[in-house]
Amino acid sequence: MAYFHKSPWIMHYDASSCNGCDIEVLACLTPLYDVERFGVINTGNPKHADILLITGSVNEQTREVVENIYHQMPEPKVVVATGICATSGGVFAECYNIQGGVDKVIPVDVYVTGCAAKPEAIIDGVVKALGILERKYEAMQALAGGVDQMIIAPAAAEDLPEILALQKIAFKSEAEIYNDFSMAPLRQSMTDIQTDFQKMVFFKAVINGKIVGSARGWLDKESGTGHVGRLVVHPYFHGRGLGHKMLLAVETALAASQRFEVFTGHKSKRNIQFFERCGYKPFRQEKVGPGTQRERLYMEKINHA
Amino acid sequence: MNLLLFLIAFPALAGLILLGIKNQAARCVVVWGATLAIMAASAKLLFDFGGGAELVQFSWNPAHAGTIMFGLEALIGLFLVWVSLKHKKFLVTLLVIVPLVLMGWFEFTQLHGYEMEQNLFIDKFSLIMALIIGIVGTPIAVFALGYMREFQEHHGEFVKDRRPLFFFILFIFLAAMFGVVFANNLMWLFFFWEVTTLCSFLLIGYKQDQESTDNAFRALWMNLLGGLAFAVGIVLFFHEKQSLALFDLVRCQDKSALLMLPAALLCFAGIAKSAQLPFSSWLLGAMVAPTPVSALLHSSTMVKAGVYLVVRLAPALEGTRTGFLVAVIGGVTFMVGSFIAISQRNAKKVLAWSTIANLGLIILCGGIGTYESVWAAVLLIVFHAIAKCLLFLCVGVAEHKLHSRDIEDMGGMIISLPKLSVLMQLGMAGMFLAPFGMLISKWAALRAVIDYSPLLVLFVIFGSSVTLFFWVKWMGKLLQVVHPHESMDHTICRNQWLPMYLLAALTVLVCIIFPQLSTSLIEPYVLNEYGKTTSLGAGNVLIMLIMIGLLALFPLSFLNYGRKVKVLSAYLGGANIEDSQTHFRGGAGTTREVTLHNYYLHEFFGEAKLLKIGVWIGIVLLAVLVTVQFPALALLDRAFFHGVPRVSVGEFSFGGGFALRVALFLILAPLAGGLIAGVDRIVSARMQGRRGPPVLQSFYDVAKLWRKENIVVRRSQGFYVLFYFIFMLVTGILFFSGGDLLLTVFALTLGAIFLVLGAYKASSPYSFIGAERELLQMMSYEPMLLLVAVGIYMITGSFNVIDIVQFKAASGGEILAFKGPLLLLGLLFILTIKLRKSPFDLSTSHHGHQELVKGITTEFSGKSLALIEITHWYETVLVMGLVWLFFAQGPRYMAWLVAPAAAGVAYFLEILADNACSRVKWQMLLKSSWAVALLFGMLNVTLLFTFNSRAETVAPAAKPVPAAPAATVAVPAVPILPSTPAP
Ligand code: SF4
Repeated sequence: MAYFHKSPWIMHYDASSCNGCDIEVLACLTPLYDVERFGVINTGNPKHADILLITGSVNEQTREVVENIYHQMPEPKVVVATGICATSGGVFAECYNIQGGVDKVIPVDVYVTGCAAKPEAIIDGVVKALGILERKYEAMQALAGGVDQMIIAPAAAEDLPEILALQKIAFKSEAEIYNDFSMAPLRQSMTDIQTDFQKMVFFKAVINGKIVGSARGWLDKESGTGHVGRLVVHPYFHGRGLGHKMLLAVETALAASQRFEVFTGHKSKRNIQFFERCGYKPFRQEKVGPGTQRERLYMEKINHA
Repeated sequence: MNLLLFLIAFPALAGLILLGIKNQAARCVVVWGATLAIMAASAKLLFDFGGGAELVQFSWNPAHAGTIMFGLEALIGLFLVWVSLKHKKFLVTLLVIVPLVLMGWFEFTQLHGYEMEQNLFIDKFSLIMALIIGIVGTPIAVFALGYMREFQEHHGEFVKDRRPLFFFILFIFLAAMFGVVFANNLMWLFFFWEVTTLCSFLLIGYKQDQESTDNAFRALWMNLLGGLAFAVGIVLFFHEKQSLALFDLVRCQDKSALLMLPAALLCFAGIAKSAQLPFSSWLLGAMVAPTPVSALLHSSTMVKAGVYLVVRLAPALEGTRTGFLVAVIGGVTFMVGSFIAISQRNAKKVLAWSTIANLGLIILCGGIGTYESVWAAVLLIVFHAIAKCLLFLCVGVAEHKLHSRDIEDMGGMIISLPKLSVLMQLGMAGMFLAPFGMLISKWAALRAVIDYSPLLVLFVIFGSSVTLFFWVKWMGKLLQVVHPHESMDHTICRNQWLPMYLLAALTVLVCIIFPQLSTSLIEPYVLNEYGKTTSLGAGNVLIMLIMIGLLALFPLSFLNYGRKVKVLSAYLGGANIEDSQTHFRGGAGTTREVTLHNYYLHEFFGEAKLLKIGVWIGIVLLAVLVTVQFPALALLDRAFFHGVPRVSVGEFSFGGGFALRVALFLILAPLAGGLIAGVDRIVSARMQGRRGPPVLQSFYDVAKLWRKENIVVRRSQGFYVLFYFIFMLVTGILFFSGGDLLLTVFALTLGAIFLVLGAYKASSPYSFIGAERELLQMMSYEPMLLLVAVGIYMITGSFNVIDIVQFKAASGGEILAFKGPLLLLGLLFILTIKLRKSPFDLSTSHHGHQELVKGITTEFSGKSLALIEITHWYETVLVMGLVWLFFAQGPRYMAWLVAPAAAGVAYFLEILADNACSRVKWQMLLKSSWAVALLFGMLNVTLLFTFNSRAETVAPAAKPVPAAPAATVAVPAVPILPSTPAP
């Protein structure tokens, strides 16, 4: 038992409702329904919330807000779409600016129907969400506890979307160092990564069926150089040796090369230290391009094997 | 003695050499050499005189010394007459000529061959001052090397390069300062005094533009007026006593009107020199000078000459009306100066006002003149000189790098000038945070004034409550990160870094060795002058050491924190624009940037208004000061001032049951706090006609939060919460082990400051506003909280919780609540803030749908939020402990049954208020809390002060005189007002 079902803190967002559902949501807080009996708090701050309760369908204006709020909620979290508008767009579905139900934008765990949704139904939906919350927490725990059972294997073509998503998460902190969000790994498209996949060796690190890390590399036959690139690890699993293991896997795959080469940003201290620990030495530094302050630090290692 | 002469003569010599050097490299060599020599000589001074005899007077009386000095004075006078005529400042001309004529008349017709043998002396106080000048002041000359080069580069076209003159004056000034602290002959003292005035005048006017010249002349006439008072004082004193020795004045037992007048006039001079009201404006004007001047002259040394004189005279002032008035001037300046500092955006002006305010506090201690207050004053001088000097240097450098003095432009300095901003924060911490010295000294100062006069208590309490407001908001500004910048640290040259590092190291060092500093230098001095001394009790020193230890952990925690957190941008109402930390989608699809802006509260603390009031009060007080000996004023005595203060407080030591009580607190307080929070929610719900959550709900919440992901905006956010938690534990231990109540109150506030800093660090608009408001709340409740401690002390005669609980009154009614009902009411009033209840909680929103989202806690989640929650539990128990204290006296069942019940009732009242009120605006909060403090708190304290027949149950704090030095005479403290004997 992880107490999630005893202390649900709710963030209520009105995506474009007619306010009918909102009134019912607030009615839940009144003496008649008194959801505080179940420990429910209406927090008004995503960073404190467990449950995102959305009323109304999502329109052009609110789409981004819904995404932002969802992303700013700490895991584990669940989404409850409340009212028929939120579940499918309802009577507004055909409207020119309406995207549809909430699930068009973010994953929804519980749908509460009704126009407006009745307070009893809303409470019922929240209670259902609590069970999901607990299950998600257990899944998270299993994932975190599963580092020992991690598998490193060559990636398959159907892994590519997941790897791309992971790459974007991982490089975000990198981009923050330079305040430059135009870097290639963040902008890479699906077709791009597919062409990469044709040319390179691709590895993935898997825990409990979920990809938490990836690396790739290719051999330049003329110079005998093995290039290692896009070594990414999900932020949850930093500092647990995943990077080192994947680097080893790539190096073994490119065993034919005389030397290995990597590059990283000149200010990315953690990366530089990581590669130095793995035996790489910096040998060259140059500007990435004309419009940016970023510089690339190239590092190499002689292959003794 | 040679060492003393060396310290006076050598800087002057070095100055003369520098006058002839135009080349920067050669200047570097000379300045470095001279600085090292002076520092070494000062250090040697410590070895030679640090241990041995208390007071060493030297016979050194070169022939014609008096005539030569007068000749020099005449030269200076002529120069000033010429300058003032040139600028048509005729007032200055007058103020130069009058003392000159007076001194000439005195020197040649009155002295009649009077010869003084022992013209120089050194004692522990002089030694401390000399160390400050030599080790804190002199390195500024090195700093000036780099700074002035940049200064001329920046302002080259407007300001003529007169650097040789600049360094010449800087070193002449150092020589004069050494002269001031070593001179025993009043005529010599006066000579050096006037030299510092001259140096200050020349340096303020360095830029030679209109503004600088005007400000220089303002400083000049004000200090000359002080000089005039000094001269008259000397003449009068000689007339009475046929002596020119400083120590004849200091140790004068005869406190008759005729002898107090010279002391009053000398204090007048000291007040002018240390820029107290009504003279404060010259120090503000002096901020136009280049930064090294501000640092050296106007914060760490020259103004210290003024306070030096007043503190030096303290034994003569003790228990006199003159002393009281001096103390009131200092007190008013402390309060008004701190108030005005809030409203300033210009960093240098904040420093200037806080300097004036702190000097006021020192003057206040000097004016009271008791052994405790002098001890506090010397401590204050030391800590203030170091930390303020560091801050001035940092601000000077920041100004060159950021091209602005505006605090608002310093946002994000932690990124753009990381090292500099760390140094700056260290300086600020030195000014107000525990365990750094200023806090200890303020605590000591407050303890020293309590027995003396409630009016002074008022000044100290309000003054120190607002201090933390302007420091913390500035610190917050440095911490927040708005734009990512490149670090510019490497553009600062080594000559600038080294002095700053030195000062930073000193700030930390004095904080660590200050018990040693106190026992080996300050206490001997106080003992020598008064025959008794005070010190921090062992228990309190231990608490301080614990705090230092904790702070030492601070950098360690950087190593390991931040692994298990997720970094996300701040909450901006969901309107964040992806890829950006600080931009959000505004109306009509525009992109807007977050701007965060401190509170300056102009409507309350506007400079123009307050300064005007302050100046008038100052003028009136000064007028009274020099005419104070009229009997009509005796009426004042009755109301505000008791003459000789009463026996002071006992020391706290860890008694039996200490460990048990602490363990009980650590284990039971969170349980009790969590339960209280649960019951609170249920009672609230019942009041609203609901059933409410289960009683254990708070524990469920924390258990859940503990398991959630921890999202932060900045990785370092979490430490601040950790320190908030740890400080709260220390505070609780202090209280429940029976420790010092006043220290508990201070520590309670300091702990909360860490949370505030964490919120600033997050740089999100919601947490930023929450942080500002939390500070505002602290400033609002602090006076009342301190008054509660003061009032309790007045009733029971002790600050120690353990004594307070065991207090027995002489004539029944030992429950504190009976003697301090207004205090209790005031406490209940401000508890709404501490317990985060409407109408006075502005920094978080504990009810849904309040304006601040979650205020100060907005950017905390997961474990951090859980820790904040647990800390609140501890805090609740702690503040309810204060209510408990009001009922815990008498038979056992009181403490175990009645007092907890009373605390419960008080809590119920708070819940009632919470449900009956909506929130008020911050203006209302500030006004009403201060009104309550003034009306309830001050009224009760004043009543207690006037009518209380306090039982003298506690042993006096005066340390037994160790191996009594021959010179000291133990003076028993005699209460003037009737006090009932101990039962
Ligand atoms: S479901 Fe009905 S009540 Fe609810 S928002 Fe849509 S239209 Fe309004």
